[in-house]
Amino acid sequence: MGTGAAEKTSAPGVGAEPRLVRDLFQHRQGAVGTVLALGLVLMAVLAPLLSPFDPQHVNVEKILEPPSATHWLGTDELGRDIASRIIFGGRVTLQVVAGAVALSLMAGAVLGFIAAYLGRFWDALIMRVIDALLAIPPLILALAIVAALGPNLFYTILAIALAKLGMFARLVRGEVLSLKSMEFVEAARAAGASNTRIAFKHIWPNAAGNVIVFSAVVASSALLIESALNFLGLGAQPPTPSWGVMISTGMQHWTLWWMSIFPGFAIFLAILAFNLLGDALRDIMDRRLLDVGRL
Amino acid sequence: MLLFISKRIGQTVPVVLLVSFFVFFVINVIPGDPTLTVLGEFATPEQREIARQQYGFDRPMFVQYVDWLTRTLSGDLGRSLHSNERVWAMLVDRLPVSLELSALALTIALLIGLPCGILAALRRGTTVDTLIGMFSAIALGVPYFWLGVLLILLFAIVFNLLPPSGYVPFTESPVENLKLMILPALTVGLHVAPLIIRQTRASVLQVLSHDYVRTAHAKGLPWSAIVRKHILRNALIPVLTLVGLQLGNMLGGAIVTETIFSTPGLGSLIVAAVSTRDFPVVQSGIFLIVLLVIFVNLITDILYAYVDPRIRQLLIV
Repeated sequence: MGTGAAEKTSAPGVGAEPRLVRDLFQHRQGAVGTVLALGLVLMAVLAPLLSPFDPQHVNVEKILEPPSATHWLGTDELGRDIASRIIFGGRVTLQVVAGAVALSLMAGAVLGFIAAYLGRFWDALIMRVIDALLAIPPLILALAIVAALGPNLFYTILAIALAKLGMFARLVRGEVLSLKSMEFVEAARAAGASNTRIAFKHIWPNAAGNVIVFSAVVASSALLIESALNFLGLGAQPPTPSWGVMISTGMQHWTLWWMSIFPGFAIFLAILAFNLLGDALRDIMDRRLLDVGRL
Repeated sequence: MLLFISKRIGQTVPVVLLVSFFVFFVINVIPGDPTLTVLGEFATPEQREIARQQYGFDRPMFVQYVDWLTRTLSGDLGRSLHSNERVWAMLVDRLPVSLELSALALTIALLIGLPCGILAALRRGTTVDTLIGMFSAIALGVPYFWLGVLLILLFAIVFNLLPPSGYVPFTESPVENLKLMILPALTVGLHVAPLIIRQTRASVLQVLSHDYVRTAHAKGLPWSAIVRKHILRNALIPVLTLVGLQLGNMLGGAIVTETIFSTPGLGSLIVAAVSTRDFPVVQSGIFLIVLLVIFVNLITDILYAYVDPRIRQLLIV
């Protein structure tokens, strides 16, 4: 019992441990997921350098061309280069996913923290609201919000964040509830630490590991909602390049397979990356907890 | 059991009320003038004022909410701003199509998910397990709308085996109906199957490690009987919960799938209503889907408690 504090502080924290990177690359799925996710991020960051053409450049002489040496993935109904639009589309998608995950993590963490820390009335109130939020299928909730506010990238971020914050709130509440009864927190309280100090210096660093791992899982479902909203025409608006919009445009030209196959494959790879990364991180964290349990 | 059911229903009521509150307020956040949808851009301010009073848009939001909830609970969902049809009639017309799609999708998901999950667990660590694991990882990554597009390209355009889109009621022509529903059902079903595979595999593996399985094996019971009588009966209980929880996922997926295949279900109705800003339809359609999800979760919990008395005790205590 006496080592409880040490165990907890050393167990789940992901922090900036270089060991995590090593563990990820030793995990087969983790390595594939990390490489794919890094590739996606690099593609988004270096889009202007990697993209062979301007993604919004209309070329009426090159309309609906199949893949060729010049246009590797073909051209669309306005003669725009599909490869370039996929590369820039990744940038838009990643911005939305990162924004939505960050926003839902922050809002969910604050709500979960308040619920667990204040307990009683606040806990009951917040968790009933979260239960109601979680009862609504995420895509339907996002659709309702976008329907209300109108199609726009910022509203898409807001809609996905609202649809996902309940999961973060539940996770953080659970983590805080288990941590706040631990000895190192009681010791800090006995030493006169304020609630804010206990929350930020003692509880959050220990809860953060699992929350960050969970972010990878949420990122893949956020990406699916983002591309579904775009596909329905309720997210990014033309001429902004977007994978979901590209697939729905491709549906108007069934025989021109390249228009929908390639953007869909890009979404598939991105979701696969986050799924593999999430699964691997969860495996690694579980294994670490088991190792700590055996000590 | 009755005490459990009444407690569980008691927990559901506040959730339904809160959900109705969310749905109403989210939809009514719509910026701009709702009379634009009814009267178009060229109406005079007087005409707009009359429409505002007629539809009750001039009243405080909370009064509108209470009025909407009371009317909704008594079955009056108002009229579509776009077509002036009764919203209730529109939803009732579309609901059977979405339910048929969900039922077919669930059947496909279970037909793939259960055998694959059981096989992966019983052959743990073998090539079969790895292949099934790879299939579920890949299937989980495939966005269902892209899968729908791929299925149309493959079965309708390349092989010309099935029609790409459309709908014929089952009562009119069962064969045509199934021909048109198979691709949308496959799209949603293949999206849910990997989750059932994963849950089934995990549950079977957990049951396999229990003493009673070892005892059954030691007393010489044939392996097929152990699997059937001891392993599956216990392992499939958590799968039942997952299937219930996946209904929301399926109805969410159906929204997009129905749009791809031009299936006239609730999903395509809501998407069309969103684009015409027909918010009585959006509001009631979304509320109906959420009510369905909550209802199925309630039934799943009751079934779960029925087959596993420990769950019953947990809530009652």
